[in-house]
Amino acid sequence: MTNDRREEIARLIKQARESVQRAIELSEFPGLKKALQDADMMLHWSLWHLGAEEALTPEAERGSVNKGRPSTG
Amino acid sequence: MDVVPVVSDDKFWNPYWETMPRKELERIQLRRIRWLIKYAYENTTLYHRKYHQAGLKPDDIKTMDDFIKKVPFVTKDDILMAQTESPPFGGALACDYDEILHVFQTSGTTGAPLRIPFTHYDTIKYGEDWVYGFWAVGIRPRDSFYFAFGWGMYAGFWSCYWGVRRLGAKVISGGGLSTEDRVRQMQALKPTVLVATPTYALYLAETCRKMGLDPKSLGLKYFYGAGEPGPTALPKLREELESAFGVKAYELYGVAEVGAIAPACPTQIGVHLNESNYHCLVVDPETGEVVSEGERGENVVTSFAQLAQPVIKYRTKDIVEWHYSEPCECGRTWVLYKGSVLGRTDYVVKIRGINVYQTAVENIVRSVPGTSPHLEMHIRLDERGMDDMQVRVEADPSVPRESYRELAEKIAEELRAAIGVRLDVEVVPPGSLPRYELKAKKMFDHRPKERRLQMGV
Repeated sequence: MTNDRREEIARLIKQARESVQRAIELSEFPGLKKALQDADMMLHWSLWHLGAEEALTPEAERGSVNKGRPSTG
Repeated sequence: MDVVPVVSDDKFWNPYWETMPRKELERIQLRRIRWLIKYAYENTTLYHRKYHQAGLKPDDIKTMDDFIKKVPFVTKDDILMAQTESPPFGGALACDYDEILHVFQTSGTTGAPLRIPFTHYDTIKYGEDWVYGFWAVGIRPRDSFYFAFGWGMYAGFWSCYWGVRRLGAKVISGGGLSTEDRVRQMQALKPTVLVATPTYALYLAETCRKMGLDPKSLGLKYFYGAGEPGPTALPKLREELESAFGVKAYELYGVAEVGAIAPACPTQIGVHLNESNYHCLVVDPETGEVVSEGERGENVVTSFAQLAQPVIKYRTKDIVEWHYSEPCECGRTWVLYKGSVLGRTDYVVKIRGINVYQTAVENIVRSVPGTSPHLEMHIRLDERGMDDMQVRVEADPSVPRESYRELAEKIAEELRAAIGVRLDVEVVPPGSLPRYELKAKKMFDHRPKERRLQMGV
């Protein structure tokens, strides 16, 4: 695979993720929302297959992972 | 047009990753390591405390050398302690409890059980580790997998199941069945891949014969195992599995709390670290210093795939020999663990200055005609308080009982010639050692605990 093709595929996936994320925001029932979140996860995974330098999880990009600073004990 | 140097044929699940030049691999891994350290520091008490105590902030890690020299190791005891402080997962957990999809647990035979949580995304990544090996050895979506496995708390074959789903092949469950019923089910459904521990696969073959069937008649094409030293670590075992079932036999090297880290190499000389999901260092278990390429040491793994309970510079206690500067004969640039796992740091025995490895002993014993695949190794102290090992092995049914002493002598001679030390060998009748569905218990350490802790490689 050429670098150009890889970059083009990555661009298309990122575009698809934007659409899916917009659809997640608009979704109003849990079945649909979960299906779309799974789709987003697999799109993120597709970017990993291409070695794209994304965050380790799709949630992290949306800023929902951080539970807050833990105590140092 | 800039061409990426990858093989574009059907050999690889992902040729881009599997043949990536080392420099590029390390560049991407460093970015992931930096992200992971920040993630673990900000989301777990375990890593926050550990790094705080070491005077380390995530931004201090700018190079791979910083990672190797500044980041402290993490052990199973560290995770266990974090879980014990605030059960069930405590300060080891990085995600919200509600994000956990699947929980496993170790048996806890050597102490408190270790709980192993995974998010949905973790299970996708963990499963995909297996697929790299499936694809490399020729397994395709048209194949069907037979799971001779009871679906308990053992993460290994659950992750294999996730892998088969990722591949898109068929799953046939042998859960909850007797061995005889599994044989009948395989006769009826004709799976092409058998997933089991190697010891159980041999027991399955033995059961077939007792039922008057040739195991080859099941029509299997592949054996793919995990959980204990398998057909890569033990060439004699490979011969036994391949000749019994008429298959090609492969293994995956996994660490339950880390991942299915190293799928099979089609050459059968070792397994490859999946470097898209993991980074490894091989260190001297006593000093913690990284050993040179081609040397043996303890495998220290960092996972980009286990984000529920992160593992960063995790000491696996597995002894491996690593190779990485030249691509493998199979075409992969990923780290090759030659011979897969060679032993465990807690089971290395030093007899008269010589390191005696579990797999070395097993390979030699199995190569002596008249032995069966069923054996036990007992580590103990001799009358001078020095490490010693006794080997107990079942004779093949064709060997008359009056020849057991002669056979034991022959095995002891072969061991002495190959590894340079004389071990006590006892030959026992067929069927006298226990059979296991999952990991066979072959190592028994009778030394006092404090003596085990002093052991190094």
